Amino acid sequence: MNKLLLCLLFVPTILSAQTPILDEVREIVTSDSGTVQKWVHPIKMMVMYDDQPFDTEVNAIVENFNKIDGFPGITEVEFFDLNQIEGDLYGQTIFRKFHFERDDVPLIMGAAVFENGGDTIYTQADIYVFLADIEVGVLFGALAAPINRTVYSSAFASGASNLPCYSNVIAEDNLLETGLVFIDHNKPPEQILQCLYGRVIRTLGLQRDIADSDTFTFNDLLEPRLDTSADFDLLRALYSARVNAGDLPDAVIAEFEQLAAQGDEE
Amino acid sequence: MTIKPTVTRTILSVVILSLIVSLSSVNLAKAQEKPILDQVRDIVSAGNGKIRKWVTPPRILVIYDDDPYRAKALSMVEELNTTVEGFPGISVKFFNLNLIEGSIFGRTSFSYERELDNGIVYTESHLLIHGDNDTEADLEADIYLFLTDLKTGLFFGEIFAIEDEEHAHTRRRYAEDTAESTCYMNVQSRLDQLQTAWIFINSTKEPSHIRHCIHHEVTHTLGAVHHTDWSSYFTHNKQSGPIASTDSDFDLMRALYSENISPGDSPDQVAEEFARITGEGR
Repeated sequence: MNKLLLCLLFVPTILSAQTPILDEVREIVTSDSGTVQKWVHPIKMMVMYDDQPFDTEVNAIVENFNKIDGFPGITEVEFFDLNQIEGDLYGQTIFRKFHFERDDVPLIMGAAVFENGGDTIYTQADIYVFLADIEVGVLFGALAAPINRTVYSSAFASGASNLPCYSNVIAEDNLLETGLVFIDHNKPPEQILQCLYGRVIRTLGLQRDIADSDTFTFNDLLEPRLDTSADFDLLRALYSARVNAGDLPDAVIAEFEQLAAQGDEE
Repeated sequence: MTIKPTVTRTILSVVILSLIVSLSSVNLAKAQEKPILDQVRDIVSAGNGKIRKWVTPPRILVIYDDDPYRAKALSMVEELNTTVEGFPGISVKFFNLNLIEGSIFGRTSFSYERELDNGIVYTESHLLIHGDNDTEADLEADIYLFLTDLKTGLFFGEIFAIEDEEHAHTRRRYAEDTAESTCYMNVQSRLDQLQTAWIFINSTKEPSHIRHCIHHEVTHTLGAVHHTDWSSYFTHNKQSGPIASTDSDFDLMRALYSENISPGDSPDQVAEEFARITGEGR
């Protein structure tokens, strides 16, 4: 009798506390097609920079992501100095999606190709991070126009104060294929760091923006929050072996709840 | 990089295949040129299968960073105003971007408001540009014609990209600066009444190409919204390229802006009007 009374008293309280978080989880992991999307092969990331590469910070962020069980990992990070391209990038650069094979596995990856004083420089990666002047961001935004989100690229070009960076990720059959991250390198370093973390994690499948969350931290705020444990719990839930690309968000919510319950037990 | 040969093969394959396809299709299309009235239907038919036209006088603003091609723009406007009966009138002004100091990247925005009054849609748009030393401009127009270098054109293209999602591939081609991508445009409409338009022309290209682009893209924004495949008459073709005479384009404008034609009418009605005006296809 006492247990029943306790349940009646406390269950509604627990639900009301938990529901907003689960709503946030649902919001974050739901793709445009209403499903969850994830990477299923090891990822190559390329940081294209024209000033500071933030290589130490990028590698530290990647190392933390790679600790997630079930995540195939960002197994290669390459830093590409755009200053090695002679002359103007405009008019001698293309960006396309191409079909590749890696270890006999067919992949669709991004490829940026530069004409460079008579030579051609090829790059390829699954996730491109353009950490550069806004002029470079505008160029690659336009070059990637068919797969880019104009709602962000327009605001980024305008210099909207609330958009120091933006990202986009492209999937086929709910398998993530190409990620694009644009960061204005003229922003304060702490904001660039927040963008690097927050935008790369979005390309891993936590796709939707969530504003004013008390739980999750990837929100482009100038002041980064230190406790990112909920973000990583969400990544763990997404990359759980029990969640498949194309599942409904409920599958991730169930995993997230289970992880939270395990955390409480510990 | 180990990937390079694959990328090279892919690019070469695409280029060679495109050349073969385009060369073979050119000859085929020339042999099968549609009757001129079908070409008219193709050109004036908007995405919804209806025709679109201006019902308020559009104002062109040429935003330039080098030669404004003033004579070309003015002569075209004059020809439209004097020879196209029923046209609501068109004007052109020019703005020298060099008046703005420093970089305009990240310091420019576009906004607009629309209202409906007695069945007519009115749009008021503003392009706000800020530069160094308090240089700034609040520009207002209906047709924004950017006659600038590639970098500046791409920048404005991104500013308008949110209104122009359907032209993403065109914008990419322009960004890649390929030989055939000297210019492109987009025009918005409401209730089949043409509203705000923007035209991008690469000012570093050949003057003859630029002059062709001014005529071609401006007439697009006036209601010749699409292309026909091959044409001996109209500049709005996919394959035959520039036409020596623009007479048929202006005949098309006369048909489209005839008082017998209203926004939302069928392309057949414009074709009939074209036939009546020119005696073609009878």
